[in-house]
Amino acid sequence: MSQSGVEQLIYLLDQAFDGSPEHSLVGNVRGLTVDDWLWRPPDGKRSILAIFGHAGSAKYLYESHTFGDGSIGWTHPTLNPVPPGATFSPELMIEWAREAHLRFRQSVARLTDVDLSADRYAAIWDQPGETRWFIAQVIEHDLYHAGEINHLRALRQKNDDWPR
Amino acid sequence: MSRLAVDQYVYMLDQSFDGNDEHGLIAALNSLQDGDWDQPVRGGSRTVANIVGHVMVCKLMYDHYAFADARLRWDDKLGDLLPDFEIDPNLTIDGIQRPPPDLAPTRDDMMSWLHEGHRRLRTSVDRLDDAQLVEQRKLNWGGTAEARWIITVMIQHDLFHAGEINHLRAIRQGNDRWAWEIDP
Repeated sequence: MSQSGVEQLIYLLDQAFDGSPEHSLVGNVRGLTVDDWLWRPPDGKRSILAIFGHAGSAKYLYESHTFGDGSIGWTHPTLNPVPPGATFSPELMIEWAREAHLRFRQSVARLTDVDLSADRYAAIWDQPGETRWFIAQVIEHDLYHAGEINHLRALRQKNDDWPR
Repeated sequence: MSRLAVDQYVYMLDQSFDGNDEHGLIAALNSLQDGDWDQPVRGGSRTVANIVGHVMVCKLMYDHYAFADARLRWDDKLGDLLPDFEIDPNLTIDGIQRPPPDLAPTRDDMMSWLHEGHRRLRTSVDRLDDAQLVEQRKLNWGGTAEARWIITVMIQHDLFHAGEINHLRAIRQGNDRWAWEIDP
């Protein structure tokens, strides 16, 4: 059973999460301080912590609803990256998000190319779609929020310009 | 010749450009209001127009080097890259990423060039077969890389900058929060 297409989507998933130093989700938080994670711009509400937490939570949810039993909802304890008694740290957040990534990646790796165009239903989106559409959402989600984080970081570090 | 893998890349190119209503580049641009196009946010420097200029010219240059004759440089005229369009001869390929006010193109022109960049890149990728995805292709800053790496960067690029544009827009419009916090 062919997996040529599946392998490319896994490549894109990995690149979007931690493969690209410039555009990936983890690549854009690497080296940031705790204060950077918590800072909010003068006219903005969301911090890097809020955006990164959203991206990580969404991946746990998407995996559960697309490939699993759909038991993880927005209030599920898995979506709390800081266990009771622990203190927030960037490292803790990244490892929590990495666990979500590995779960999603493993589910995709079980597919064949034929599965990619098969329809499935995921309650979280309340719509049916090709399996590859659901995978695309996750790839896109990491990259989109990596871009938001980069703009926020650039405002924080006062270097919002093209690299020279 | 198999195209199972190439088909996924073409699909993702389309999704990242204008296939995804929430996270695609065109969706982010469609959510702009008057004044969002050419004004930075407080403490920022780049405008949406600057970001679109960057994305557009990268699509054209990545395609030109990886899939065409790779003869143009960043300080050449933008018109040489887009000969079918009417473009100010003082505008360079590099300069479109932050043009001086007297050379700034209209939003409509920029959008036309952006769509042309996507069309060219998509056409080039769609001509490949799976075996060609791991062929070495030229890069616009020198050297070579696997075709699939170059295509991946272009997919990432649209989505990454769509996120930047959304953050810039949300701050400008005073609604930098999650959708479920805004909707009644």
